[in-house]
Amino acid sequence: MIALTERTLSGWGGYQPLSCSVAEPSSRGQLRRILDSQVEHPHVLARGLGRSYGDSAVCRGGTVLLQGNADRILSFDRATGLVRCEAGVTLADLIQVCLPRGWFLPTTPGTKFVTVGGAIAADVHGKNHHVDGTFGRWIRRLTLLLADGSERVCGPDQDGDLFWATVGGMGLTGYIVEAEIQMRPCTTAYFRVDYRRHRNLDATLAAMEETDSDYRYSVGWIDCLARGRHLGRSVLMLGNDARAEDLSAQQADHPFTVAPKNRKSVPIYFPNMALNRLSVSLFNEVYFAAHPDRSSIVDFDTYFYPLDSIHHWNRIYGRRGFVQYQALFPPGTAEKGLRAVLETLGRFGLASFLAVIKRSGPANPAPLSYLYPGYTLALDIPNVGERMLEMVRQLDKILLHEGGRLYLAKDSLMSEDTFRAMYPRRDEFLAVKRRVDPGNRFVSEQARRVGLIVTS
Amino acid sequence: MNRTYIILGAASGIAKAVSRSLASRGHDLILAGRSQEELNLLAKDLETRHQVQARILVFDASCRAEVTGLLEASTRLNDAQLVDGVILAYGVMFPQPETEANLDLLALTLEVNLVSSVLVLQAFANAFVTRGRGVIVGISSVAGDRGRGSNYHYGCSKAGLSAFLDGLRHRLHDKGVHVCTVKPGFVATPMTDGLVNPNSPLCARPDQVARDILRAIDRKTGRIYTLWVWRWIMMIIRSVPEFLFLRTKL
Repeated sequence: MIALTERTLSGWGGYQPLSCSVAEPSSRGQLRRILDSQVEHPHVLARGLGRSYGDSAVCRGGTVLLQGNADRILSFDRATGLVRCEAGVTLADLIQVCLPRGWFLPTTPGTKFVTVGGAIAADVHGKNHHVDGTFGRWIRRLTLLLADGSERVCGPDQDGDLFWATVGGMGLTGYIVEAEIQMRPCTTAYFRVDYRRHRNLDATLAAMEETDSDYRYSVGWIDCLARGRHLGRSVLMLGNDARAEDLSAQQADHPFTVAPKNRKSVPIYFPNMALNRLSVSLFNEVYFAAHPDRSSIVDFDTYFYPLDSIHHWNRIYGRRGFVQYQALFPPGTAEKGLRAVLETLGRFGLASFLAVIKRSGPANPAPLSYLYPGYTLALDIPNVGERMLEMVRQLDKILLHEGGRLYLAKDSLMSEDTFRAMYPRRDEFLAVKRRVDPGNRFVSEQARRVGLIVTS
Repeated sequence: MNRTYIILGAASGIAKAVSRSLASRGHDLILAGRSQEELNLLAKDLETRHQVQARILVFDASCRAEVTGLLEASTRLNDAQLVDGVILAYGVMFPQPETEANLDLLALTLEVNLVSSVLVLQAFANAFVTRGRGVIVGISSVAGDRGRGSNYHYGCSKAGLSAFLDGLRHRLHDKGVHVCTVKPGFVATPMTDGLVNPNSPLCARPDQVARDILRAIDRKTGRIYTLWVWRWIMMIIRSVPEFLFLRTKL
């Protein structure tokens, strides 16, 4: 007997919640029984911590499988940095186990509260993409349960097609049971960070182009409300791993220990209009002023996960939620495309607190992986209804015109046509899916919306 | 000081959290339960996360011979040393309409939650008394505090367990053996999946229950409710006069 509960689920953006049947398998045996019963569970979908922003981890008429009990770390070799774990293990868990022994995540998104399974399915990236690529690049082996209930092991050198379709495959090839991840050696838990302000978009892009090779980590915050000659003004946060000699005496005593942060929580949903042009531009002014050019030694929590210290930060966007929009432009059109995006944002005046710019490095072999060389801009757009939809339509048009691309892990609204135009390797992915899941047992609302399903 | 605890029903949600807490303090563990596969995964997890020794012992609580053999088997596994403490965390709960209709299921509930639990804890208690030291933690339930129409089959098995633990503590309080009764209210675990609302303020996460249990071990507390608010809820439920209680739907 597997208990199913009805639960209202959404992505992290809280946009358009949906009632779903949810099961949390208590054991491998129970998981296998669910996948073996095609009739009772015609559609299934794994869901980690629900940090993808849109509808990638919800499924109408299917069974959403939670990972709460699949959180076991099975081995860690401190000599080689190879860790093997279940898909429900979080990046926070990996840090806790590996960092004290001198190994850090090979790459990490802006939150450590994601599961390994989710990180693989979304092929997440971080501030070091231009150097280290995506999370998928560091996966050595995956154990999958396929739609027919069989178990399959794959890796870059073993059924590579299935492996690379699963990396970035949004959970649509099979259920990730276990993964082997190559961690990266480190000598401290700290980073040397240079903060650099730039007065407009040209200066920002030029600086990233020029200095990225000097830094392993590079990311910028962009003021989306600055207009005219300040359009695209930014604070770049450029980092490298700190060495033991960079630390203060106190830090050097325990180079891998960082005092836990005082965590705050947003206890309630803010009123829908709490974030408006005024409050956000005020925030942006303060933020910009608070970051003069300087260098400092910063612990990993502060550098990588500033928002993790505020629980439920997504609630500041109110009950109607928000959508996240991440736009990627190739180098040739980046300047033009980003300018058009920022101008559109300014015209609509839809406040976005967090707009993050990043220069991306080479793509990997995964057909649905997001990044290729270029510039990517990620922003939150509060859900104000039709005006938000109209703005997103205009942004989509800019992206399509400039050869840009949206990120599935962030997307809530992309149409099938847009997706096809942005992901020319879609058919390669579907060829693998046809082989392992011809009946579309693994399906999400997003997959239905953008047409990531096998048609006969 | 490094101890060895045996966790009975180690794959349960509460047991996993308790095992991790004990391991994080450097204690070695013997994980006893039904599924070898799950126990192996858990043992690897504890060894990887906390560098302790975690050994496994497969048994079925509905099989009398395997239950009565647990003490000896655990001592054998622990290099012929009697373990330092035992934590009983297994139990079954079927929807009451099923146990009403199917007496075999009712018998299984009593056999697992009450008979086997009492037998195994008595065996460990005897050995602990002889040695003059030991910790016994029994995870009972608030459901045992007063029989309620909707859940009295599970409730009576846990009431029996609670009474046993009360008596055992009474007898052993000056024998160096600490006996602790743990009464969880709602806990979000696989056993209660679909039955409790994990977002309710009355519902504990397994790691909260584990924290309370470790504190009880440290302080040698006799009886704990977890979350603490259940002590007061159950005090009220116990004190409602029968003629009123009969009119409630609980």
